[in-house]
Amino acid sequence: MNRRGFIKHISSITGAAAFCAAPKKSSAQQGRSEESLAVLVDTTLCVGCRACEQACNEINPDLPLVPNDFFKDDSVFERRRRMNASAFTVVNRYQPNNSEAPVHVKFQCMHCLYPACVSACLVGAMTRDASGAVVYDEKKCIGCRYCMAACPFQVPAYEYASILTPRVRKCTFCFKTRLKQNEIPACVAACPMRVMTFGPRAELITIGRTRIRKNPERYIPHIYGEHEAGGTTWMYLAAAPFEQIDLPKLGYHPIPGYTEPVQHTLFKWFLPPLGLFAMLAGAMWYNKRKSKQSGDDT
Amino acid sequence: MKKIAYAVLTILLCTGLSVSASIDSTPAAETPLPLQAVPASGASEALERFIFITIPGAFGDLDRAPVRFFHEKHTKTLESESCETCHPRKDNGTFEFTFPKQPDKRSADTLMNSYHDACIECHSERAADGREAGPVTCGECHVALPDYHKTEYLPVMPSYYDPLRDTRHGECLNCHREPAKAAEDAGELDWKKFRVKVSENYEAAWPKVGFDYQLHDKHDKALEQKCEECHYLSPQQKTKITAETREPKCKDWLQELDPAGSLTEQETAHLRCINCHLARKARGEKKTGPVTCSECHTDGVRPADAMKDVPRPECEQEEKILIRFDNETRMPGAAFNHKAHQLRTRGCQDCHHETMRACKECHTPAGTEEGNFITLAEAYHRETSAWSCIGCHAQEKQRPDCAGCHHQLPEGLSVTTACGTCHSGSLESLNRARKAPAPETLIPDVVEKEWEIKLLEKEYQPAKIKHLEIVQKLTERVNKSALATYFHTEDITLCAGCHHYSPLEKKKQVPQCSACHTARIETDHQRPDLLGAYHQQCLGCHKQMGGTEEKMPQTCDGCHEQKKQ
Repeated sequence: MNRRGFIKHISSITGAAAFCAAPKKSSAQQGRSEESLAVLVDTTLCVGCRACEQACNEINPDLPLVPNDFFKDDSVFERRRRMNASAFTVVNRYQPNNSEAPVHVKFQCMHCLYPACVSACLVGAMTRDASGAVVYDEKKCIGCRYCMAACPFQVPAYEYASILTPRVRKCTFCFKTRLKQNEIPACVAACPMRVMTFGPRAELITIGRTRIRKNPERYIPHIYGEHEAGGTTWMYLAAAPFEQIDLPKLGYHPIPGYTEPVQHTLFKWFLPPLGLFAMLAGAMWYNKRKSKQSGDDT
Repeated sequence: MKKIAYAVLTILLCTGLSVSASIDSTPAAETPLPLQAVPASGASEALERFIFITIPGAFGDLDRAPVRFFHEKHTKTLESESCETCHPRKDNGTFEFTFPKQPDKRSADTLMNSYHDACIECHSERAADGREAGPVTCGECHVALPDYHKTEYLPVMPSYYDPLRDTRHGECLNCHREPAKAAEDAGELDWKKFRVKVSENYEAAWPKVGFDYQLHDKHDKALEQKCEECHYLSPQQKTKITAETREPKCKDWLQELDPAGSLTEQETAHLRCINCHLARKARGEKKTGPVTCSECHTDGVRPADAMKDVPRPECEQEEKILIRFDNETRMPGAAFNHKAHQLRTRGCQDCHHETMRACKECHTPAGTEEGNFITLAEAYHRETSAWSCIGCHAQEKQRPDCAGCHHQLPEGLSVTTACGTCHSGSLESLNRARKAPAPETLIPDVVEKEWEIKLLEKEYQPAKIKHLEIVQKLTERVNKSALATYFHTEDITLCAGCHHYSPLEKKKQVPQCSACHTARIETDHQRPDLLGAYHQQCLGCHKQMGGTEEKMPQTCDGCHEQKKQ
């Protein structure tokens, strides 16, 4: 694929997504389109410079501006950090059992193919774009924070400090700021080690497998996120067992796949309300007949 | 069935040592034995080391947890008594290291009782006499430890699964996540379930003893070079070793102790070593050798470098050999310097497994059962095995001094031009090893000693690259390595560490990095862009060589000076 084709590809996907956002499928069905975009993170390359964190902070003007010195400060690695209302991505340092050198891992929203947050959202404030991005709309959000409870990676954060207009905060995949302008996400562009590779998901899986095959000693023979929770947009290669670098062991079944069948079957054909009304009507009819009979007696 | 179980039982208890070694009977143990270590571990730690008395298949499902047995504790307590307290002694005075002395093997119950009788009887007798004694109640010996006795199964893909071709096998991958390699290496595979048994999780109580050159030399001196004390072919041939009989063949030399040939290497080693040491002690000789577990089974491995000055065992082997089997083979013979390899290994068994026979005797061109069906060609070339030439060299290249360049380069037999380096067809090529020349003679005069890279000049001051200094340091390290001086066949080979895929000639300028690595990210992701290439090359090497922050920086500020604002 040449550059021109690539750009055409991206723009057509995002364009198409904007155009036909209408067709309502269950979130479990809309997941694996072959064209969706993705990022492959090769943790064996990362040196923990945190240029991605800085780029993320700069591209998102609604995040509190953090001084440059913070991103040069190595002491943040002393504890395990999580994404919060002021940071969409964090890099953590790990010391897995099988390696002497520390391993750095970048975390952000995984942009699942079958997002549990989208399934859990009552008002449709979370949507999944065909490009792969899981997008949050603060205008629709009612602040129930079900998305935070549903996320298997515990990504969404909440602006608890804001009293009047708190928002759920998570990585946007640079959907509005860059993806729509045919630019790659800011963190991917900023990485000096080119730890992250951005492209169509199917291609990245092939690239990941080729890397594993060429360097069997260097990698755990598995692409994390290829199948986890039904597949994610952000995928990881690593030399250490994934559980040791805080990438949780998840099943390969999409998370909404566990809940949606139950909910959708239960409420199919308006059955529970109908059943309730039928029961009430029956009780009413029975009572009425009973009172009628006793009335007859008197 | 029961007979087999009892056989296993006898074998296991023969030595009273590591149970796991017997259970883990995977034939293709690819890694060489860990060899005898330098310091003995702490005495108190040794006392706490235990093995499990478990006999797979003999008792079926166990009602209680297997017994933890502390051998070192027993030897320490019974120091004044002979091994005879627990182990049977033969008429000729040698011990058999089995327990109990007369196991009653009629049924599982009688067998269990013979253990209980032997242990508890002794413990209670000693307690009655007021001497130090062991436990007598059930729970004190049968302690349940949840961390042990776990068998994990790992789903695997069958070997015909090709992860590159079958990219859409999502369904299979739902359960089988690991590719085929793991299955082949793990040995035991349940094909019905496509699962590999990962571990029995019986931890070996003691590290294996490797008979390295230093240990051999110690024996050589103590025995006044009477090789036949250990190396003899059979009781009949227990004579001074002659040229013909010098090489101990396979396990023939164990016949006296093990006529049926049923004992494992570990059991025969215990029989021979400990009995000999005990006999020498009884004779009142000065140098007797150790008899307790911790004295032989020490942690850690004595590296080859530490044994530089230890004389290697005398052998009939020629110093230089041309490995070639018949004239029909396509490749010319490979020149091999046996002596040079002796100097850089820890013991004969680093290459020869447990026998001193030539490779080709077990690894025939077609493969034999004895040689684990590993063919002759594979025995030399298998990249994943530390026993093979290629595999061992690949391991050497993972040392920090080599890994800086080699971790990025294509490895092993994928480099087809490399064949001729070994297969030279003449012994003369062994004299090829020579030092890399001074870098000044290779670098074209127009190339500066150091220059600046201004790729990130918006954010940082230009980064300085000290080209000459880097090459000088690399040359210095390469010249220390015998492997490099032999296998870096050209003067210019070293340059390929960074200038990969480009034509290299002395005193000729090479294409710049930016000739291939463009400023934009390529959409086919075949190679990193210029920014990525610089960082991956420089930092990748710094990381692999494990240098200090000052000399090989691994942070931004190490190379890039901050811009003053």
